[in-house]
Amino acid sequence: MYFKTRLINTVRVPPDLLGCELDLVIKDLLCESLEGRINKKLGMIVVIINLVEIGEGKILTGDGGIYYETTFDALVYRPQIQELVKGRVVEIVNFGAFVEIGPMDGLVHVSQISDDFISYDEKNGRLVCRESNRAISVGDGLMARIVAVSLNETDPGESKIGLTMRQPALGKFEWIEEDRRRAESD
Amino acid sequence: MAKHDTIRALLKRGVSEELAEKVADSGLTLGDLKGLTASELCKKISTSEEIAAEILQLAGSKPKKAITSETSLKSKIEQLEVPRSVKDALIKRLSEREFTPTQIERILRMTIEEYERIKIDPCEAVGIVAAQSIGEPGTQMTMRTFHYAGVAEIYVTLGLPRIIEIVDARKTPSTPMMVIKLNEEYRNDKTKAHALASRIEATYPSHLGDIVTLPDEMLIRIEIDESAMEKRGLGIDDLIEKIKGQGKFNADIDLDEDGKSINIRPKEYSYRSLLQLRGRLTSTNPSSGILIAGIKDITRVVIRHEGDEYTLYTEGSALKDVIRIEGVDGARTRTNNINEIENVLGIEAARNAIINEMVNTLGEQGLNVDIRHLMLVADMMTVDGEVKQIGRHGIAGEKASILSRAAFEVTVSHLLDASLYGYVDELKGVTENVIVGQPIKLGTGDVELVAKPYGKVVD
Amino acid sequence: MKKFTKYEKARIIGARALQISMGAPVLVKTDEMDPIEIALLEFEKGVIPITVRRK
Repeated sequence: MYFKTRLINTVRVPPDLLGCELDLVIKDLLCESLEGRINKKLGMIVVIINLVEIGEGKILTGDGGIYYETTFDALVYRPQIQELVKGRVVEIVNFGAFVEIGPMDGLVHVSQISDDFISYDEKNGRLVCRESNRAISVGDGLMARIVAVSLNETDPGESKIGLTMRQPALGKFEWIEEDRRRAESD
Repeated sequence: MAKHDTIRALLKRGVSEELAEKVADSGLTLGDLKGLTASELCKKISTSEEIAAEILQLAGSKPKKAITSETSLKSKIEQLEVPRSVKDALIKRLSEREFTPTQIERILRMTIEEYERIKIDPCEAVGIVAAQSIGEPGTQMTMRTFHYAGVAEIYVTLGLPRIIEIVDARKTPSTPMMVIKLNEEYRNDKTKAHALASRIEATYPSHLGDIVTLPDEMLIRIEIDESAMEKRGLGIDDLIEKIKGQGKFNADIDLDEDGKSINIRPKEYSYRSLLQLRGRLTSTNPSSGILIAGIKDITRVVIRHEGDEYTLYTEGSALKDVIRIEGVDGARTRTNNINEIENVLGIEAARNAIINEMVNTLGEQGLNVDIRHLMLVADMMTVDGEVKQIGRHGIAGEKASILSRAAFEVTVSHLLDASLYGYVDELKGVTENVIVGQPIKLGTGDVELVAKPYGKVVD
Repeated sequence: MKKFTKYEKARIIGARALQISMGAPVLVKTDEMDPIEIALLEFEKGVIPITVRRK
């Protein structure tokens, strides 16, 4: 889920940037240092929206930089367990499908795609259900539920989000539509 | 010379200093001004016509005699932000002579400037400077350690031992002494001074006559020295009373048949009790002797004629008792026992006593330490309302910082305790900040810099 | 302008010289190359963008 959050952070403005418009410099520095960063509590900071307040610039011994305590609004993405997400498959591997669910990717493990037995079709880059012959491949849109979240602050790429589609009304959009129609006709 | 006179004359008439100088610089005198019109003058000294007219008007007026009245000068000086002593000096010096208002303005301005310049900046390490300023002369004193210099045959500890005594805040000095000044009635009268002295000095039986032991008669006889008795204003009956009253020993005390001696006979017939008795009677020790007259703690009094008055110097000190005696001028009487001053007169008096004692001790050795260093020491010793020593049990002993205590001794147990009980170290002191590698909170280390908006380039 | 104590002056000029040496734009026109000299010059002119906070 996305949140708009008010945050406070201390920004070091290096001496060579002094004399430029302070708001812009600080915003740039904030974007550079925080956007795409992950915090275990907050989630991923997607974008800095605007600066609210720039505090007093403090100068410490032995450093030419100036430290400003800055209050700002940011858009953060925080994956939550049990959250329903729409996404698009970006990669198929033998153990599952990676799904882009906003700024981060989640994984639907083979065991979580369907109640069917799933086999990996390496040639076509697909995961195929044996009984119903349903398949997913790169580019498919789908609906899933987040069941596991493990965020990594130091290396955002190593963060893991686990998804499942083995619940009613989850899965590829086409499957959901088929299931609904079948239910209606029954 | 003429120029100078013109300036003075104009100043006296109330023309401002700047304008007066301008007029004089253009070669004009007071006489010339009278023949000029405003427009002519304004060309000559290049000012506006209004100002020129004002100068002419003032030049035509009579010189003011008392330029600044005494009261307005005083109120002006009172408003300055300088210490009392500076204000008093200004009032005194400025009322000695006549000054123009501009001169006074200037004097006051310069006084303030000089006062501001001389002030100690915040963050200055005054304690360190004071320590060094007292410590260095202290090293010169060590050579003369343990010398006793006589003040009128009374010996007083001086030099380094005395300084140590003061900063250690000892309960009693090693050589307590008093300087007792007398009231108007007494100070010029030798006999009254002597009478007072004998009332103060502790008197024991041995001072009043010979004490003779007659073992074959089992008798101790005090053969009274009448002149000594007379000097102290004591009668023989008083003496018997005192011995009976304070002696508390098992003996018969009678006046001898000749009326000039006292016979003391132990009730128990043994040499041991005779010797014990003798010991008590001959003792001049404040704890065991029999005090006949005077103040117990004052063992000796010396009278000196100083200046135009008689002053008493004593060995031993008992401020509380002495200032109560009729004839003593309590306001001028001194003791070198600071603890006693604290108890009798209060903490401010003790602070002053510390300063005075240190100044005198150092001065006596020919050393000149600025009084403000000593005042700082005295202030630190007395801020809490009681005299504390400079040392582990006094002002240095209250170090709250765990880190600095741990750095000193038993490091591990200090740190263990700190972690067990969740102590907080606020890193206020010097040691702690050195330990953690931060700038210390002194001098440039205690300045907090803040950025201002970046301005434009100037030439 | 408020008067600085000697310690404040030292810190201000020192911090400014460090900024200049690290590439901060100079606020006076001068041919001087030494950052400390430049900082001193700026201090005289009262243009250093640094002040102190007093407790």
